[in-house]
Amino acid sequence: MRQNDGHSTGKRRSQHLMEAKASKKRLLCSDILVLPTEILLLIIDNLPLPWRFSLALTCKYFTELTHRSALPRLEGEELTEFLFTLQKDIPNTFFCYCCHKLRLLDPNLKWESQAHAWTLRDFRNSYWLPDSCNAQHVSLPEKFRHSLFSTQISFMEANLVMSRHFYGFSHGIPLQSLERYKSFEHILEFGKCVRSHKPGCKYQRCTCFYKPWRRSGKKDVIRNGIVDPKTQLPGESLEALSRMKNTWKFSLRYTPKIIDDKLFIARFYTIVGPTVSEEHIKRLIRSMSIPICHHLICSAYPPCCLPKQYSCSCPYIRSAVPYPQDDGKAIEFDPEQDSCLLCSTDYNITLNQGPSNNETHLNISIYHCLGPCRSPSDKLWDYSAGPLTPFSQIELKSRVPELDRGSIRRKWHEAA
Amino acid sequence: MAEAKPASQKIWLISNDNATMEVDRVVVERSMLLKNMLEDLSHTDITQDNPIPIPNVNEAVLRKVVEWCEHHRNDPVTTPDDESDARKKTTDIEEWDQKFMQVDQEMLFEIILASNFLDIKPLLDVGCKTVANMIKGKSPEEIRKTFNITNDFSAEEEEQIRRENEWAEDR
Repeated sequence: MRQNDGHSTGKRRSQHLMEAKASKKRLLCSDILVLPTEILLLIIDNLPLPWRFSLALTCKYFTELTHRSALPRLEGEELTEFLFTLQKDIPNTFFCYCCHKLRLLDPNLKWESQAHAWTLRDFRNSYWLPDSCNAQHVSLPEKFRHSLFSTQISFMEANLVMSRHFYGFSHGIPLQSLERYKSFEHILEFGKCVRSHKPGCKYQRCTCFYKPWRRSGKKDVIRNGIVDPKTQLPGESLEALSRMKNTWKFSLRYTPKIIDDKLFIARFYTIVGPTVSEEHIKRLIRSMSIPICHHLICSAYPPCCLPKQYSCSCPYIRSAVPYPQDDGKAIEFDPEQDSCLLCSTDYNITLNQGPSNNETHLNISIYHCLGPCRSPSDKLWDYSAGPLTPFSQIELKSRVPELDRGSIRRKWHEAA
Repeated sequence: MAEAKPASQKIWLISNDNATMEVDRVVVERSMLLKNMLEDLSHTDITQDNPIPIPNVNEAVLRKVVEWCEHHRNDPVTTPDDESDARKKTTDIEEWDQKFMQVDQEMLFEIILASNFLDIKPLLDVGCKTVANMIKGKSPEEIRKTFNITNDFSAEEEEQIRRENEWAEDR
């Protein structure tokens, strides 16, 4: 019985080889097919599994020669490698890093309307969200947080934009898909307490997370979390504050560019409002906590409810993560123009009176280089969006050499 | 008993387009085919007027093969076991060999065929690894373009393969 099986298998095999030889004859215009079968087999021996599959799919001769039907099933990283390359051959198809399958892309639909897009919203997105624990000092509208959330960029979106760049119009989505613009107006009431407090209480409740602060020999300015308004806002009474209901305009814009096969995104935040005290500006900036990148936040120091004895610093660049320090010295960032040492993100911040001198203009420009976005573990994407682990901190210290301080901003402005 | 082989002994080879070249015996002996042949001959049998014919290999290819053998003249001779181990391990190619293999495809395949004919296993191995590296990281269509292969699958057959392997989702 076994002999019969062996005989029939051998017969089938020789039949396949004969078919392969016949197909080789038909294809002999190919240069590689001048090589004898034994040498082609040596070449196949040197190929990792994903590329044996790739070769097997070129023509029937190589399907036979690689014994494609007998090749082990592709799994894990090998499957990812193979399908990532296979997507190039099939128009309007993309390899989804989330479900590890080839997915159809409707060229007539925007990314957010694609069948599979919604399932990828939480997958390795850009992490440019405000620190929610600071959003208490000034009551910001829900629109503000909503607009920041809706301007996140998912890895697959960035990946598909770069796929179009690398593979042409039959692949991916246009660069414009990454453009974002949100704007809204809101009346900010600096004198109002964000948290609910007891009815009839004429004082603000301290809304920051710091515990009541006491210092011997000094007049207490914070008692049981209640801020003395005279101390907190010198020269301004609560009545005056309550009248200050003026409209603030918020806008944010993302402008993507592809430079040297890498995706660059500039984020511009513009906040325009009436002239207010430095204390109020400080509270507003601290409430917004606009993230510069995964590691730095545009904030203000000291927190609004700490006394004036502290030197005031606004805007102040706060590190969102334990920042690696050289020689044990704390790293201080220039609040006007500097660069994150971990992910190379550049930023500019200006705070001025505006052209008419009776407005407050806060402009925050942030420049990211997200790399070629071919894989979520690509160095530059990972620096910008990935979770920060002790391992990645060490890794991050060895920055991408071509991205020195200010180079992302410079490249972005120089590019058309 | 085999005759003593002076290190500087010269051997003459003639390509299939009648180009004669003088090569040190130790270099020629990188080829197992020629080494075995020389062991059966007296050192006086091979002269400038009576070179060893190398059929199927033209002058340009033979010069490249000799150049490789010159560079690797002092390499230890590998056993068949070592060779199969080395082949399994990696497709890494040392820097000099990489540069040596930076030739057009026709020359690359000719070098592979010549090394196969002359039985120079390490050169054959470098050639095969070079071709493997040209395949690695490429999609089927890119491989077809690289090597001028005609796709004889129908669209339905390609679709069938993707379905069989569950590589694609319909939505």
